[in-house]
Amino acid sequence: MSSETASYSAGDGKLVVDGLTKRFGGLTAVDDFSFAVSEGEILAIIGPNGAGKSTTFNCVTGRYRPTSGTVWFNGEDITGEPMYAVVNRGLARTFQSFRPLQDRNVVQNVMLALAPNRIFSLAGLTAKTHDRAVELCERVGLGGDLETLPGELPHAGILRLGVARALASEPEMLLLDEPFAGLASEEVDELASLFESLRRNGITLAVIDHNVRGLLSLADRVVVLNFGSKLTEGSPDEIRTDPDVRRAYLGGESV
Amino acid sequence: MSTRQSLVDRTRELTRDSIAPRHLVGIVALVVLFAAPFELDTITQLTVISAIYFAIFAMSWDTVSGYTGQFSFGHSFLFAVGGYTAGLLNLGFGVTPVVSILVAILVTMIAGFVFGAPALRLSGPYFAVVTFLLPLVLLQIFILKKDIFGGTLGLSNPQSLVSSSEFAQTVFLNYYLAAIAFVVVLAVLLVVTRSNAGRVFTAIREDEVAVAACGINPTKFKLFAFVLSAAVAGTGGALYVHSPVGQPQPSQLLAVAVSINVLLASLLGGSGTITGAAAGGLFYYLLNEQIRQVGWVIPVLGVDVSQFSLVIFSLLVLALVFFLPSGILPWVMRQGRRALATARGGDVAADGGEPPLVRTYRKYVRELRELRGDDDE
Amino acid sequence: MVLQFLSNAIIVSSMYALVAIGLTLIYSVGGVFNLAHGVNVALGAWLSWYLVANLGFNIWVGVAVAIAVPALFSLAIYLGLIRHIQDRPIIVMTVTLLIEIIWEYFIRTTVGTQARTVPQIVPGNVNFAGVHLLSNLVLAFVVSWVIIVAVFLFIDRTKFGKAIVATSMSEKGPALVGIKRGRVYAGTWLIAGLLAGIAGLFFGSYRGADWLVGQTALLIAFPIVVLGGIGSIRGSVLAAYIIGFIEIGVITYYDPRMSGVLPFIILIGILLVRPEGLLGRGQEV
Repeated sequence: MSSETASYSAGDGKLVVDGLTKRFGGLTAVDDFSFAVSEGEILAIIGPNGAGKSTTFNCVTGRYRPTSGTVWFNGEDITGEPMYAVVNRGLARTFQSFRPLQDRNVVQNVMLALAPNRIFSLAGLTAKTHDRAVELCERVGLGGDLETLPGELPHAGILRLGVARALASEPEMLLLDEPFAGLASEEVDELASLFESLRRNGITLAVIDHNVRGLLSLADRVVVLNFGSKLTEGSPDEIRTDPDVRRAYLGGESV
Repeated sequence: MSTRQSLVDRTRELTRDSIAPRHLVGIVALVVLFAAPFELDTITQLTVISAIYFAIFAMSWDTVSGYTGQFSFGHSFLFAVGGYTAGLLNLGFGVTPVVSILVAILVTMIAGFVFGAPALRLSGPYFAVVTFLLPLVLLQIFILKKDIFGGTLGLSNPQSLVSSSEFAQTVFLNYYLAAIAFVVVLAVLLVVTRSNAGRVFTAIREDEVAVAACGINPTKFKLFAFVLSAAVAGTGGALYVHSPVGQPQPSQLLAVAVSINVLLASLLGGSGTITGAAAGGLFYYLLNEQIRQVGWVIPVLGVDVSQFSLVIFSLLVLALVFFLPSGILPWVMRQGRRALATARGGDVAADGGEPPLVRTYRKYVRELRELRGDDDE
Repeated sequence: MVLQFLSNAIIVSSMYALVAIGLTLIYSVGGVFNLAHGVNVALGAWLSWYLVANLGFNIWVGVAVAIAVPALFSLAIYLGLIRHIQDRPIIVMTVTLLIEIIWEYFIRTTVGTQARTVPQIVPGNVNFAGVHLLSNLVLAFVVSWVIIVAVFLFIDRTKFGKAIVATSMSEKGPALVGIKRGRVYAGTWLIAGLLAGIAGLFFGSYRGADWLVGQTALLIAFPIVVLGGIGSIRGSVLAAYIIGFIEIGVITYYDPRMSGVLPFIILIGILLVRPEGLLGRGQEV
């Protein structure tokens, strides 16, 4: 079992997390977790349920305040910044339990993401915003569902909507939180190729999932999290054959 | 596309919408409102003036609570700040009504900012708690500093903003003042809520985290809604005390009943629409007055119905929460649309179909069946 | 004199803790504020008065009814109303607030605005070291602490208690291990009503029962629960003592009229600085 003792600093990658720790009362969800994501790569963060993956994302993107640790993005310290500020820096995310706004249809959902953070503005209502929203929907494969209400979308569609919304902020980096959850294997492949194309367009990706199969073929590098701390990291092939990783998954699917 | 072009597009959109029946109904209602004083006697005019101010208060509540979903259980706090500031300036310092009203609006907006900024950082229920407590604390201060604020009895009558030598004429003038204020407030709020900000407000109500994930600062917008609400509240409160129908008194501006009535009226009319609060406010107040005047006595309890009106409305809202969650006005509009559609022989819209009552009934039957099958909830 | 103050404060604080504990349970398990909690307390007080002082029943009959009825009423509210709207906490607050309003009107029109004396379970006084206390209040102190400890043990040791903790901590977790959330909520509302009824017995005899007693109890319990933080019974006990001491202190040494306002001001102040309350589990957003 290898553990990280070296610490990271701001210049080690596009997104650098050093010594992240998050405690909820008596429960330590994330314990001294450090990793870095290089520009243009696809990093996978895997681990069994409850390992602290989502909590990590939440701390990085400003949904939770880390108990301790530092987060750098593009070399700047963004630790503890509120979510909207992090997004405006170019770091967007999707949600595991994605909540589209139920009171509006697909394209209107995306239009919200295009709305500026200004009180007095008509921009959100213009045709330009609408066109851009349609573009984004088509990008993620929702071109045929523009007027559909989220409640009527299949699960895969909702995940795509989440990606569209995240893309609306024109991010440099995208954190994908369990994007493959509940999908059939061909849907997984479709989504994976969408992510590949995003990377080809210059967006750095970090993906967490506990469904390892789809992730390992997509990722360049893998970090394994268990009980809140880093178990190991390496290339997909290394991780696939690592006995510690198999053990950590405790009888889960074979990788 | 330039901003000018998009503004033209937007106007075209709006005018296209204006042909919708519900707008026609609204315009007719406003015409009736403005024409009414010629048919009504002075006493009734006074009642309608009060109803108008109540509706303004309701719109103030709806702006923040209906739109952003941050339920305020103590909006009377803002009404009181507006009313008392204007009243104190006028009575204590001889400031003319026009100035006292403007200052009162400003002061209420400042109060909205000062109390709203920290309070809005709290999540929904906590926010409701704080707003519930604020008027109670203010009332205690008014009682403790009775010499300045007049305690539970409040202050006496400030000058009227518009008046004439003859009482009937004064009332007449004040009616139009109130009606104009009503329309101005309505217009401003409609513009704001139908703009970009309005979409963000409703998004905040749906899911604040989602809004933050879109790179929009939810707190900023919530605060905007709150300060806007305070501006309306200050306008209403200040004009109210400078009219023949209102004084700076706790029973009129600060009581828990005021906060609750405003809340009930907006919910009944349909929260989150502004028009629902406007219509709901008017009807709620007028209905309340009718009940008071009719003076029925409930058989078994031997009690005057008017004392029970708050209970009746509470029960109505309770029923509404389950059967017509979006309020009466939207339901009426849906019914109207369906009636029109069938009259035109067209297809009924997707959200039509069964009336809400039947849908809810089916839902409960389903749940009961699940219960008997010993399923979780 | 100081001893009297301390004794009063300690006793009143533990009674306040008892009043608050039902509200804390519902809040920590369901994440909703039950603003009808005051109604349960009022029921406890009024039923006791009605059966014992008005109809002449034995005090223990009154006690039994005063405990059973609020428990069932609370359960009925949950099954009939809350269960369907639990995902919208603000609506729950509104609905329970309306129930509280309806109750106030009901009690005011049936018995009027005059206060009634709720009979004491144990009449008489206790004197020691120059301190003068009502025996019923000493009983209240004992009962409160017995209940507080019992609730602690119940949550720690029993299966249902652990189910309560599990439900309060996670949405999907309990279902994974076979806990039926609906039963946990129903049980919690039942227990909360029961505890409120007991609280009403003592609170009513201490303050007298008037048409506003429900609101008064709520305005005490509420700040305590919020101050104590979500998910923390320890927190609300601590908060009860803070608020109790401050209130008795202000009444005794300063100005009796201020007593109503001070807890609120403190509460608002603390909320703005520390939204999770004193010992809350601090879940952001």
